[in-house]
Amino acid sequence: MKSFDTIVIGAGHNGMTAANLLARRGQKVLVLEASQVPGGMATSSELAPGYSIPSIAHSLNGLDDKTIAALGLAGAGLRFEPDPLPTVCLLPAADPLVLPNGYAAPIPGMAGGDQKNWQDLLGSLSFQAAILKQFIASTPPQPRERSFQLKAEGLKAALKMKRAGKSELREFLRMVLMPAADVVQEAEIDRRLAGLLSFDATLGIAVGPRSPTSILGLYYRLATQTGQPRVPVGGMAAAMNAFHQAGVAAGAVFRFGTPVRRIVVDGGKVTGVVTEGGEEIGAATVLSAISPVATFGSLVGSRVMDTGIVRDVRSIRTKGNVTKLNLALGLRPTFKGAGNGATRLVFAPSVDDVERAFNPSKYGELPEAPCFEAILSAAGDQSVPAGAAYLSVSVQNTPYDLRSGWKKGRVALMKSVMTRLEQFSPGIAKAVVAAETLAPPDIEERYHVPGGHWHHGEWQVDRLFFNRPVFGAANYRAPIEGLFICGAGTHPGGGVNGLSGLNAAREILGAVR
Amino acid sequence: MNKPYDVIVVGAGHNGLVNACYLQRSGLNVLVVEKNDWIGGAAVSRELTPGILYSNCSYVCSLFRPEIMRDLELAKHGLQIIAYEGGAVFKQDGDFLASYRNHHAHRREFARHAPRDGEAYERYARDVTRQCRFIQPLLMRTAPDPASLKPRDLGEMLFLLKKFNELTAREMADTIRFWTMSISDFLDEYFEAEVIKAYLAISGIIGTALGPMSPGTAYVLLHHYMGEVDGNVGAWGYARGGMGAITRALSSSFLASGGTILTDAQVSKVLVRNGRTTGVVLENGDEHLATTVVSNADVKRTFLKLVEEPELPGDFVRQVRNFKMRGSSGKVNIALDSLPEFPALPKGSPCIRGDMHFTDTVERMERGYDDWKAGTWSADPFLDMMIPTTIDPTMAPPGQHFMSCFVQYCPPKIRNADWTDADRDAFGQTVINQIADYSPGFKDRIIHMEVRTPRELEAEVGLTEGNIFQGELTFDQLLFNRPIPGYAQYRSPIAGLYICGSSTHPGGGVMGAPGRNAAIEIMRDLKRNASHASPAHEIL
Ligand SMILES: Cc1cc2nc3c(=O)[nH]c(=O)nc-3n(C[C@H](O)[C@H](O)[C@H](O)COP(=O)(O)OP(=O)(O)OC[C@H]3O[C@@H](n4cnc5c(N)ncnc54)[C@H](O)[C@@H]3O)c2cc1C
Ligand SMILES: Cc1cc2nc3c(=O)[nH]c(=O)nc-3n(C[C@H](O)[C@H](O)[C@H](O)COP(=O)(O)OP(=O)(O)OC[C@H]3O[C@@H](n4cnc5c(N)ncnc54)[C@H](O)[C@@H]3O)c2cc1C
Repeated sequence: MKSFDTIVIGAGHNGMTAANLLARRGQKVLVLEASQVPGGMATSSELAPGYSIPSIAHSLNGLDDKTIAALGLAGAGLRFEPDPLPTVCLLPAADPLVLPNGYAAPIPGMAGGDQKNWQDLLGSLSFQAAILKQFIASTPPQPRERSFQLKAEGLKAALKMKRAGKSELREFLRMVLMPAADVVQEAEIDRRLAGLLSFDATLGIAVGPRSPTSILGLYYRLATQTGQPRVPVGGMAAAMNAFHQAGVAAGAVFRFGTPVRRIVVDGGKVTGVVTEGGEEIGAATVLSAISPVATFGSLVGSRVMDTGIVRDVRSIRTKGNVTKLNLALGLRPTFKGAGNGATRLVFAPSVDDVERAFNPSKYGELPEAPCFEAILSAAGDQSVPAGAAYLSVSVQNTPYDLRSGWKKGRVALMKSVMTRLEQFSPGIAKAVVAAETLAPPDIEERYHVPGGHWHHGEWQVDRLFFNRPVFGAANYRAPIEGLFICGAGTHPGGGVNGLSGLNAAREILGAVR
Repeated sequence: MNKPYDVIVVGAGHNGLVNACYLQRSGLNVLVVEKNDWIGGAAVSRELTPGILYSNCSYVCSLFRPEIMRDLELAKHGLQIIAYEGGAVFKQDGDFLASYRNHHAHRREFARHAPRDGEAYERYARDVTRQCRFIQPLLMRTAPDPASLKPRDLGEMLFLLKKFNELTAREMADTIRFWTMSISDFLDEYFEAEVIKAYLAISGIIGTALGPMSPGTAYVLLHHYMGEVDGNVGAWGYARGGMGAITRALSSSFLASGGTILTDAQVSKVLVRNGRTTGVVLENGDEHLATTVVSNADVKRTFLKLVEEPELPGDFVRQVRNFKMRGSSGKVNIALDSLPEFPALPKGSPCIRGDMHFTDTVERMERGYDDWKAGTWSADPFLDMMIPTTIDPTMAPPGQHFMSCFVQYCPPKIRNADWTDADRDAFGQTVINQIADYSPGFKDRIIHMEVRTPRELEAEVGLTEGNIFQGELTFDQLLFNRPIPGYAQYRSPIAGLYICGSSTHPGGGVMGAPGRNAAIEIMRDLKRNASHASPAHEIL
């Protein structure tokens, strides 16, 4: 039997991040991945000959430069489109609102008062997000823990608040669990921006802007993003190849097409894994970088865990609600407000529109007027044929459990989004060369993520920090010796940021030291 | 010129009266001025049709603090709380879910609907009770200001931390979850049967402008579960003679200790000179002077209507404007010539003496909330319906009955326009129709009806936007955030002006805690002995 220091299950970007760091520190690391390519939910695939299109995630939300450096990703070929990614808010019967650099720059043509309210709101949100940021790039503090690190983080956060003064602290404690809708209403920002913020706060989470706590989604974006989502040159596949290559360069061994069937536990200790093919591979440490529900529910099995944690894992809400529509286009469509560079289009005209689209999803129904974001590829993008383009669309509020079934649902959803796109770019439907609809159950099947959830499991307050994924496993350690977990389902959550991989690798290195 | 008082309390709601009682008993000379020609605010019983007494607004008592009942000798002044029996949720398929006071019967009934839910109920009851015990001691204390370094705030903060610290790590993690989850998600972790979830979700939405699927509604459950009748966590009771009996007993206690109440005396302005209050002016022009004024009116009414804007810091006014008090509930009070029948219930079932409901799924409740968000009352509303006269014979002549229907959801405006009488009548009909679907011949039994939408609640009780709790119970408006961060200790930017209504910590419901806590702060400022206010009892 072959043996490694650490076996990483899953070559999603988080698994690759951890493998890279462990190998750099001299560990013998094996990464086992079920599919044939690296990247999990963050890669691209060939939708039509010559078209490599982001399958699920289409931008890197929150992969910061420190992580890129720590992993050696630049050396492995990771590059970003040089121009900032503009956001174009599509508005029915009105000109679009263009944010040339997302939240990062003033909005041209916006009147002084509106501009000021917008900047003021961003100012306080960013300040508050920065407080939470303190806790994101490290293992979450556990209740009753009195470690030095917790004290240090707490002190840093407290100092930051102290410097800012009483009213900032009070404002933070008031706002932190508010509905996004109330926050934007109080700030009296332009109604179109209110729509955008409502959308950004709730995308990937089963809440509407009027749900209490929905502002947290926005904090998370602001805390993990250096202001902006980024689009890698060569598409998501190129970015994931860079993760893979950097891992290989660090010394990790990768095996693709090798799903793990079981994590072997003997006398309360992990001893290795068994692959779907029946091969047993030994390791004293296993890091499972897949959905926690899959780890505990399928790979470990309830026999070796106590009933409390089995019940907790069962209560993780994993049903996703974002559907991907991928369009290969024969020519690059024009959208008012979009230039030649890669562009983010958002359809979320107002808070009420976002909330109305949320309502039916609670009952397993599709919204009549779905809200969505789309990435339109840059003119001259090499991942599509010359003159062509892709449009990668993430549609919100499309529930996993569609009552009328996804067979009809896929068709209906594609039709309603195409009709909407046609309003803004007449003729776009005729340019479609190939199209696919990946609803949550499709994502579940293709990417081995139960529920097909953006964050592998609901990203709401009751499942954050020391409750993520469940109490007792929130410091990346499963309650089984030698078993660690990371991935979107663990702290701090999903998005392509590599943070859980980083934090988990640190825990493993600390444990074996 | 009227003779000056030590303290003027604006409003004879139950919190105003509790406040006045404690202050009067500390030797201060207190005047209560009430705009209506009756007292009680939202804890009131009025006879609108001969012989039949309604509990016009609030209708059940569970939150009212027993410490206050004892301190103010309310039993001596006629207050009696009677526990009620059970209740029922009628299902659309003709079956029903009964609830019983007896734990074992209750559990058996749950098991009838889903075998595993009987057992789950044990776990659920244990977990929720634990949460109640954690929060209960916080009700009767002034919330600390986390931004303050004053010894008292630090001390209170330490108390909070100490309470939290008494929990095990697991309990801490669960507490955080409980405080932030939706009641629907919370119940999904325990139960299978839809009707059981619908039944238990009720306490998470009553009075809130949120649906059962909104995060934060599990906490609201506590607000309704916390009460005690004879020390029984979570039990509800009727006040004999209607909810007005509570405020009648309070006023009797107040008058007995030498206080004065003026009714039909609407305050139009709180007088302020050099940043200090000097008294109030009534609508009829009368001035009453006092160096301390306590407002029982909600925070918006107090600071946006009764105080001149230039007297207040601009930032404060902005925050008061941002205080959320969207009304979400209505009330239909009905006088009946005979006891209605519900064929779904077995003959002689005690369930008719408790709370009855027609919403058998969480989804129906949530859809009702969607209607509210869209600016109309729920087409398929949620009703909390009771017939207090099945237990309390003092409220109607023999054979006749008072039926109380609390209704959700009901918005403060109809698609941004004011309510009209026609809207109100249509709303009333929606409610009657729902009852009649389950009770043949119901409409023929009706003698009289009082339909109250947020418009009526605002006009009569003074609740801005008809919010029954004088402000929504969301995280941003609880504890040290209620009503305004930095002003959560019953004081205001104006010296001598205090607030004591449900807009303040710990919030709404006929609980009395805000009025009592405010009295303690005032006595502290006026250097009065407060030993007649006993501290919170801890339940074990
Ligand atoms: C529709 C949608 C759109 C999104 N858009 C964006 C976006 O634009 N930007 C962004 O930043 N984020 C986006 N996200 C979120 C983001 O894609 C994920 O949070 C992130 O990719 C998760 O990475 P991960 O490494 O934790 O897990 P995954 O990417 O899920 O990787 C897990 C890997 O484990 C493998 N695996 C599973 N089971 C086994 C097994 N038994 N044996 C071996 N291997 C196994 C899987 O094949 C997979 O490769 C989106 C998510 C969705 C659903
Ligand atoms: C329909 C309904 C049903 C409810 N059901 C229940 C229930 O079953 N159980 C429960 O525990 N709680 C219930 N509640 C909530 C509970 O009744 C209230 O939270 C509580 O009664 C509020 O008491 P308060 O003293 O804080 O304020 P209020 O009762 O609002 O008293 C304020 C008083 O101030 C007076 N006032 C206002 N402005 C002026 C002025 N300018 N001059 C003079 N006087 C003024 C008003 O007339 C009023 O009397 C219900 C509320 C409503 C509306």
